[in-house]
Amino acid sequence: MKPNITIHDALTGETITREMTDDEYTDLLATGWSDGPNLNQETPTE
Amino acid sequence: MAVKTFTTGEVLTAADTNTYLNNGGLVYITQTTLSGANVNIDNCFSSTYAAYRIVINGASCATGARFILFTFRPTSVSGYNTSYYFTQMENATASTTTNTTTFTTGLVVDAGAHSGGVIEVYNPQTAVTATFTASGTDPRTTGAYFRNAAGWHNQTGQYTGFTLTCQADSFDAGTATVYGYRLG
Repeated sequence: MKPNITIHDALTGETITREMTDDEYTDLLATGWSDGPNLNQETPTE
Repeated sequence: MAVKTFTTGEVLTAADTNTYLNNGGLVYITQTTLSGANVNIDNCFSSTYAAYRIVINGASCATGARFILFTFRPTSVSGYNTSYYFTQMENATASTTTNTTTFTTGLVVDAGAHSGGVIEVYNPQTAVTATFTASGTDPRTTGAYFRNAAGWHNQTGQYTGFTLTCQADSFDAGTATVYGYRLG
């Protein structure tokens, strides 16, 4: 199951939250996102 | 829009009241909840304002200790997911990233905590390179951490919105509110 996405339009004020489409998931993965600990991307440290 | 000065005895019309109440220095544009891995906010940047303030409040995620990433929209505008240059700082430690797909705001969301911070965006909707800054608090039981970042986007696309991504996780609470800095 792909993660959810929230889409908000400032013109109409409408907001929807649903499961991502395949294209949206591809775009998400292109940011370096992964489902779980992302060892290849800098994460916050203390 | 110029500020209007009302004179003694002048009739205050409903139209003037509505107009000038909505035209303070910082003008509310829109607000949405933070839910899911991505939050797309469309049609919030326009030629009405040149600079914007995005207030993140009460943000949290399922797992914890994840950055909030910022990317321009719409995806139909060339360059929206490339050429981001930024430096983000965790307390006194800074790191610089060049030419990447998104802007790491430095703002952190955690599980069960409620992070807050601001992202300021300059010239997102004009055909010039945009710049941005961000700062906020990362609340941890081990202490409070000061997070901030600054960067720019080496593209000249005209963007009308943005995406907030919860790095390697999903938002499960919080809001993002967009304001515009009034011109003139």
